[in-house]
Amino acid sequence: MRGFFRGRKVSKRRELLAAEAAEWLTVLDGADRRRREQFAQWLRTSPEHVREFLAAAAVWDSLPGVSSQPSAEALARLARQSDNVLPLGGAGRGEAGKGARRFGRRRLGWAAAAAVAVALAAALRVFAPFSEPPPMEYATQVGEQLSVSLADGSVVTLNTRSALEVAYSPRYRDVRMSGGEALFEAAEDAERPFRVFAGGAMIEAVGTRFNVRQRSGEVVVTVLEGAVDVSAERSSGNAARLRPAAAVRVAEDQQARAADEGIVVVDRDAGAAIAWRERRLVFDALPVRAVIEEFNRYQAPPVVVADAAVAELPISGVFRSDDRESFLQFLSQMGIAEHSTQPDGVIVLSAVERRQTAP
Amino acid sequence: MSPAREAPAGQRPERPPVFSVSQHAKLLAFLNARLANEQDARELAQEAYLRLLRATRARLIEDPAAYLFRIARNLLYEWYVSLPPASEPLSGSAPSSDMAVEEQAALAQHMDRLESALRQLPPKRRAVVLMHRRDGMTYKEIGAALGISASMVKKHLALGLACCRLACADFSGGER
Repeated sequence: MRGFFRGRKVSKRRELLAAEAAEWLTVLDGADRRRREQFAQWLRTSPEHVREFLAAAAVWDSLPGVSSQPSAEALARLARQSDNVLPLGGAGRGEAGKGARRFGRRRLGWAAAAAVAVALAAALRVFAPFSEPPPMEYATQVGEQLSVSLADGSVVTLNTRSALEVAYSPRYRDVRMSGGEALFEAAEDAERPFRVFAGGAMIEAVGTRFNVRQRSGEVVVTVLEGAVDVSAERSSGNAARLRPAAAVRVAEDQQARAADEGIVVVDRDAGAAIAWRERRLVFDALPVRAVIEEFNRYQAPPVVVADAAVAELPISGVFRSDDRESFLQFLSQMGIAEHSTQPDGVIVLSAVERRQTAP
Repeated sequence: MSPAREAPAGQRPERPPVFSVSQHAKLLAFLNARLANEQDARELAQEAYLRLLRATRARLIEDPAAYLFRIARNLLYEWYVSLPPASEPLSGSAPSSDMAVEEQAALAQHMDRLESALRQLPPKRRAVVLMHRRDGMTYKEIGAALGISASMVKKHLALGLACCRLACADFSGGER
C-alpha cells in the first residue's frame, strides 16, 4: 500500500490516510450496515480523517469534469500496451529505485547535498511554528471510547466521559486532560517531550505507553511500557499541592498516585489498569460502592447504594463495563443486594432482607 | 444531540440552507474553491468532527457520508452567514456563475492539478479512474475492458484517487 504516490514527497502516514479515504469512497455506494458502521467509526477516529474524507470526496466529485484526458478506448489501448512495461501497483517504486542507483553511481557531491537537505528539513521542522496544528479538543460521552492518532504518530485512547486538549508546539507535545481517563502511546521523539497535564500533575514521557486516570482529588498514572516522570505542574494553581517538587520516576508495571499528600509509587499489574480498552472491568476485593462508581462512569442514569453495609462489601471479578445489569444480577443471585428502578431511571441498590442466611 | 444543532436554518428562517444532501457534488466543488485557505479547512474539519462525535450512533450509521456532508454544508452555511453581506456567493444556482473570480481561479488550478496527476498515473490505473468517474462505467465493465478482476479495478480506483487527492493536497490544507 505504501509508496504508491509518485508526486512530491508526502509522509507515509498521510499517504496511508489518503489511501484509506479513497478506499472508503469506492465501497460506500450500496454499503451494508456493517460497512457503514465501520466507516462511521473510521470517520470518528480524528478530525484529520474527516478532513481527508471531505478532500477525497471533493476530488472524487470533480473527476467527471476533467477535459483533457484520452477517451475510454484510447485509455484501454494504452493500458494493454503497458502491460509488459509497468508492473501492477509497483510502478512508482521501480522508478524511484532506478533514480537512486543513478545518484549513487559516481556523484559523491549528491550525498553531501542530500545531507544538507536533510539537516535543513530537520531545522525547518523545529523552527516552523506555522506547520503545527492548532490545539484540538477530544471528548467522549458516557459509554463512549475514542482512539485518536496524533500528528506525530502518537495514539491517545479516551475512555468514557473523558476530555483532553492536544496542543503541540515546536518544543513540546502537550496534552491537557480536563477529566476522565486516557491511554497514551507516545511516539518516540527525544527532541520534543510528550507531556500530559492532569489534575495539577505533569507526566512526562518519551516513547512509552501509559494510562492516566483523573478522579476526585487524585491522578493515577500506570506505566505499561518504558517509564514516565511524574511531577507537580509548576504553572498550575495547585503547584505547591503536590510533593515532592522533584519528578518521581515511574517504571514499567508501576503505578503512581498523585494527590494532596504527594506522589506515591507502587507496583501494579498494568494489564488490569487498561482492561477498560476491551470494555472489561477488573475488580480485586473492591468495595461495592467503588464498583458501582466504576459502572456509573459507563452508563447513565446511575446506580445508588442505599445501604451502608452493602456499600463496604468487597467484590472480586471481571465484568463488561457496558453490562451493568449482569453485575446487579450477580449481586442479587449471591444474596448480597437487590435493586429496584425508580421512576427517573435511577437504580437503587439495597440490602437483602435475609442477608445473614445467604451464602 | 437534538437535530436542531445541525439546522442553523432554525435561527435564520429568512435564509435557509440552499444545498440538499443529494447536491453534495456542488457543495464539494464549493469546498474546493472556498477552502483554499488551510486554516479554514482545518477549522471546518475540526468542527465537523466534533459534531460527528455528538451525533447519535443510529443517525450516523444510517448514512455516514451523507451525514458528514450535511454537517459540512451547515458549517459552510454558518460560516457564510457570519461573513459580511458584501460577499454573498451562496445561492441555489450553479456555483460557477456565482463564484468570485479568485474562487474560479482556485477551481481552475484544482482541475489543472487533477489533469496532470491523472497523466502521471500508470496507464491502467488512469484508465480505471477515468472510465469509472468520467465515463460512468461499472467495475465489471471496466474489468472486462482491461482484462482484470473487479476487485483489482477497485484497488486501482482507490489508489488512483488517492494519488489525485495527494497531488491536490494544498487545496484543502494538509501537511504538504
